[in-house]
Amino acid sequence: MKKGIIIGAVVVVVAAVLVYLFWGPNLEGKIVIPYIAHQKPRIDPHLPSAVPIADKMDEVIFDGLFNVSANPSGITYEDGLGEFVELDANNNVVVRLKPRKKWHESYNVAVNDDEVTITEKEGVFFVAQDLNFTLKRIQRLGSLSPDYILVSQAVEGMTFSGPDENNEIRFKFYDDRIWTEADIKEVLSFKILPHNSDINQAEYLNGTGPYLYTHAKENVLYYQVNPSGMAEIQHLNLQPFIDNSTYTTELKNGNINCLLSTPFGSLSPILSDSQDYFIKSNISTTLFAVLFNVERLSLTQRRELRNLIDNKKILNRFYKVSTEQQRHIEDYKGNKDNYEDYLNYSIFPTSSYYVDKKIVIPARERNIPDLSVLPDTVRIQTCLNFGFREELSELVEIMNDPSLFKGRIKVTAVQNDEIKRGNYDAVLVAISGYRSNFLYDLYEIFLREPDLSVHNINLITDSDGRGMRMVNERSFEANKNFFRIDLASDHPERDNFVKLLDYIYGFMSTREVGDKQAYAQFLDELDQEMALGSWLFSLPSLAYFSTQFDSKSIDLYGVASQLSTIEKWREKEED
Amino acid sequence: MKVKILMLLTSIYLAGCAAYKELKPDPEVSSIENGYIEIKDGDDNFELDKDKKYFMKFPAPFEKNFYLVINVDNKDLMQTYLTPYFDDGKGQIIKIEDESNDPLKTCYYPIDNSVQNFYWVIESVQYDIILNMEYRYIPQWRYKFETKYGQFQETVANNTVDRAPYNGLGVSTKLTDFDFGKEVSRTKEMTASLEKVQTGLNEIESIFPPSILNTNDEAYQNYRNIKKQVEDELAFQKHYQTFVNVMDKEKSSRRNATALDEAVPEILTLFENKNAYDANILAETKNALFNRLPELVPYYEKKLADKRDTSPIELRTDELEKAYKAAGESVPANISEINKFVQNFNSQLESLKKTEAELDAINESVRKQSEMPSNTYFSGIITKVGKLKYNLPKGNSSFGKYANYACAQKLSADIQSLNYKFNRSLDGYRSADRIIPQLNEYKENRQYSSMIRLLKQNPELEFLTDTYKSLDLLSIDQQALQVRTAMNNANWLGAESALKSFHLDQNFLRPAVIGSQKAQTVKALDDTLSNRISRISQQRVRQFVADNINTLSNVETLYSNPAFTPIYERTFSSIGQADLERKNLVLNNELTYLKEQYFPATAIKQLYADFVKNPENDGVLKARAIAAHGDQYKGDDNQVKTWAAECNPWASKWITKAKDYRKLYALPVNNLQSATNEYVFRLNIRIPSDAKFPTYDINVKLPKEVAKDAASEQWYKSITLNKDPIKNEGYYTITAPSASNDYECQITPVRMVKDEDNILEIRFNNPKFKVYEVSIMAQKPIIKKN
Repeated sequence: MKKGIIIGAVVVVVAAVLVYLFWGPNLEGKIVIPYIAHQKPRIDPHLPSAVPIADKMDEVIFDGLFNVSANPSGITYEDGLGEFVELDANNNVVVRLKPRKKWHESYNVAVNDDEVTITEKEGVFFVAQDLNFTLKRIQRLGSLSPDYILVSQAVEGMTFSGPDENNEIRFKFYDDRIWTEADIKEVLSFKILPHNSDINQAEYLNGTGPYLYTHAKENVLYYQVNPSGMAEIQHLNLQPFIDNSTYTTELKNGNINCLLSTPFGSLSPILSDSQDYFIKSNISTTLFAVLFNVERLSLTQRRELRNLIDNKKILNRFYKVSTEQQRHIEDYKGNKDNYEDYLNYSIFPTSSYYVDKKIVIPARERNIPDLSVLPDTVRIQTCLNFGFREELSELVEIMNDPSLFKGRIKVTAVQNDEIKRGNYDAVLVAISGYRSNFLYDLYEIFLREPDLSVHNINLITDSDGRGMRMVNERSFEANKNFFRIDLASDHPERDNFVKLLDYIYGFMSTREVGDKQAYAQFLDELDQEMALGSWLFSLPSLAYFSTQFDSKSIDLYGVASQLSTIEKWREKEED
Repeated sequence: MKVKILMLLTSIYLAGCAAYKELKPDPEVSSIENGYIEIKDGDDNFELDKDKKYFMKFPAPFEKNFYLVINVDNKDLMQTYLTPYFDDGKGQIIKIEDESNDPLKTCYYPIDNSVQNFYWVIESVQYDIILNMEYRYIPQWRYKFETKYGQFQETVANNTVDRAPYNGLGVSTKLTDFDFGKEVSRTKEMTASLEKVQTGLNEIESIFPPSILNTNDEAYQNYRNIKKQVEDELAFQKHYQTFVNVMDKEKSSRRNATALDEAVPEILTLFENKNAYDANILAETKNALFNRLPELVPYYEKKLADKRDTSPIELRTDELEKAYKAAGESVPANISEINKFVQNFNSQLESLKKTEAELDAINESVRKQSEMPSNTYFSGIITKVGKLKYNLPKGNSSFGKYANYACAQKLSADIQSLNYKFNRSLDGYRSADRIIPQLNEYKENRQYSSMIRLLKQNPELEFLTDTYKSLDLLSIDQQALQVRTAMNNANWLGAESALKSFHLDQNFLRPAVIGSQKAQTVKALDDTLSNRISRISQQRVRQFVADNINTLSNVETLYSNPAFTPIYERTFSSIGQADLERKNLVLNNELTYLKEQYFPATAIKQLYADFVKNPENDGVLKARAIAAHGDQYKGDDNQVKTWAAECNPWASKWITKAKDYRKLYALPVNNLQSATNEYVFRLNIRIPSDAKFPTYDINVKLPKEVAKDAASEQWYKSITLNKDPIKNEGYYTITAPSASNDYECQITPVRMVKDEDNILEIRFNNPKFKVYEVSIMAQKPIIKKN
């Protein structure tokens, strides 16, 4: 009997192995990336998204005149829809357009079960009109789009002349610097949309990039290599999951092979086998913050609440520092478990250029909080349904620990609608996709409407009559920002709110580096005074890849999309 | 014919142009001595026009010393002069002085026969006048004598002594009849007047023409007569004057021996010319005088008794005795005796002075002997002095009754003193005679210091000081030579030792005299020693620099070479410790300069020129040598510093200007060539900016060799800003170099901390071991999305 049981068990195991080997997941020729199922990426190459994968997909679907890529030595610029011809002595930049570049709509996509057949139909080619439409859209988006700053700082009038008989167009660049070829290509790297698009589509899927969208099935988003493109790996799938808690397991189980960010940004013990996985670190792009409701908390209370919330204690709990369960991290410089490097003390995260280069020097020391001015319980809400569930859940638990904040804080996970109502003293949020360079996005913090299901930035601008835009005070409406700042009310801090809005718009809309740095200072100083939130910490950015891929083919860099070089990715050749 | 008319007209015209018109008397002027002759123009006188100019020729006389005498009316209305040369008023005019005192009529012009003609020139005429004029040629002597003869006669007559009372003395007159005092002065005046006449006559005689001598010319005969008359009277007055003078003094010296003594010379004169006096006059004179002269004996004895010195006795005892003898009178014994003493005293005194002078002369000659004497020199001197001493006067033993007089005693004492003086000299000379051979032997061996020592050991030879004074100098020269010889032999220790001995040497005959020269020589040698040590030390360094300027390996060790230390460290200075320390410090400073500035700067300039000319040729070694020199360089030459820094991979290259490509060298920092040589270059970005937070793109143009594989392999090993790593994964953007961007890498944003160092360091590996040229440019950044 006993022997029979043993034999039976062995048979079951062997059968399971055979089933796994023959019918288990097979990701050959595929790049499979997870996403949160109810946060389907809506792709707009000119606007930041709240869903990190959406911004990364810009590089997958679209081309610019020049595409940003990378190699082991750094950023490179490759021809996209244009070819650099010359820069003359008057800073006229001549670019030859590539007339044979087709829009994805030039192909028929036939889906039969899991089979996808792509065939050519009448070609829709890239034309200068597409470029013109794109520039007009970017100009219209203004400071909401990082591309606006990119182009407006360099190209006079944000326009071009041509094309001529050689299909060459001509940009007049400003005369205030020596334009290197790399700079020109950077400026002209904005993604181009077809001119037949609507200017305000919910999302854009018709591009010229290396992968084209084929279909969605059971929330899996399928992309296939552009027939006229150069990408080596045929398929790109965005695989849906309920939340990020199972990402590492899914990678371990071979259901995905590319994890662009891990929960907590930490190393995963189950993915420690370097034979199966390799990691790529880069600079943080996500931060956690507690944003204070100015309608519920007075200035004094906010200041004391900021004093109360000790981000270092939270961080140590968050990573279970000095426990057996410690979550280990490793940054792109090779530093390990350098948790304190991620603590933030300002609107501008510590990893950002503005803090790192001491443009702003936030006060790191907190005073002993005067709890008497605070409500008996400071009620903080958060929503776990829109990304970072793992991290936010952990934070809720940590912050509710009475031993940490003397029971004066109560964090509650609520539904999105509850957040929208603003019935909180403060709200705990994750702000993702931020750039640590000059283009750090303050709209995402201050003007994002508190509806986590969408990504709306409540920026209202007016013309000043001289061709310039100026911010309208209606940009601060209580229901349209997490802080519930409303300039229509008679709030005692209204003047500072006005000043804050001016600074935010000034920071976001200027194309002058010096102005940006000055505004950064103003904003930091104002925040130190107004205590609008508690800037907890940033999340390390760590990507895991299956060794299915050749690690040398994957170059990540800085704040740019991790998928910029996807065209070069290749699978490792078997030994 | 026409030509002749033309010449005539021209002559007339030219004549009319002459400034002076010649007056040609008719009859012509004659120079023969022939009284006054009227100047006529034929039968008429010449008519002179107002403001016109005229001249008239007068031929020269046949002999010299003539006068041309002109009497002319209206002399005062004309300006006239006589000249031996005249050319129509041109050239220099030599005017002969008009010796006439008459302003209205007469002119006396002294003329001679040295020229052919004289010209009487009328320079101006105030009114139109008729020339009423006569002239005369006359010898000057005659003119002068004729004009003064009457005056001479009158003077002689007025100054002739009435001889009657004098000739009648003792017969018709007595001495008391004379007023000798008055007669003395009157006779003096008369003699003076006659002597003036005699002088005037002699002057005229001096211009006598030879032809007048021994003629019966009346004027000449008159001249001779009056001259003899004057000479006779003067001869008489001479003796007469002596007589009246003596007699006047005899009278005035009564009860006055001093006055009588003063009269003795004239009394002697009178008796020495006793033949000029008649017997009666001589008898009266003797009678008057010889009653008085014995009064002088007590007077003289008193004088002698009062005399305390040994100056010559100036009493007229000898003239007194002679006066007796000249008068033919016997000399009184007391006068003879006192005269004998006076003569003996003065004689011995003279002998004493002479002998002493000769001794002094010998002594002086010995003292002034410029040559160092031979061995026999002083034997001759001793002989001379001995002889001289033998002739010393005897003193008291010959003074008779006056031997106890103070002056006689003093003279004897002086003689004795001189005797002592002789003895001292002789003693010294004898001592010298003994020592000289030893001195000469030392001299032969150039033992100058021994000579000085020997002389100083014999102070009695003080008189040799001048003769041997050159010894001091010789000693100085000798010692200086020792120092110089040691220096020339590079025996610095010996030179310094000799210098020290020299400095301390006080063995000199005349230390006070030679002291400053010795001090100067020591000082000069001291300076020379220092200068030479300094110069040779520096030459050694410069030679070392020249030998090693191109050295490329172990450059650091060159700086510990002994060449950079003084060839000799002095331990003594004649000027003192402070000076010694100062000189050593100066030299050490100079060597330090050569070590820390000259050597590195020179080497850097040369090596850098070679380096930039061809970096491929040992470029790494040259750059390292330059950098090594640069590490040692402590000068202020910014160019040198810059070059050194350019070649020092660890030195930051300053980027101080935006939008300007700057070349620099990337150099390997590993010691030996390997498969992966590590290169480093550093930038210090300090661009002046008004911005509060100046930020830049840094563009780095790389050599193809460095960046050609950048697409497949990271071309750099590390990039840091102020030691913080810059990585693409952060907010920095590092653009990869590629062929399409001409291998230019961009690093941005590089935030510059104002007024502080902002060190951007780039390291890369490369299999080649060489110098790479890199170009750097900074400019304000653009805002990048990626």
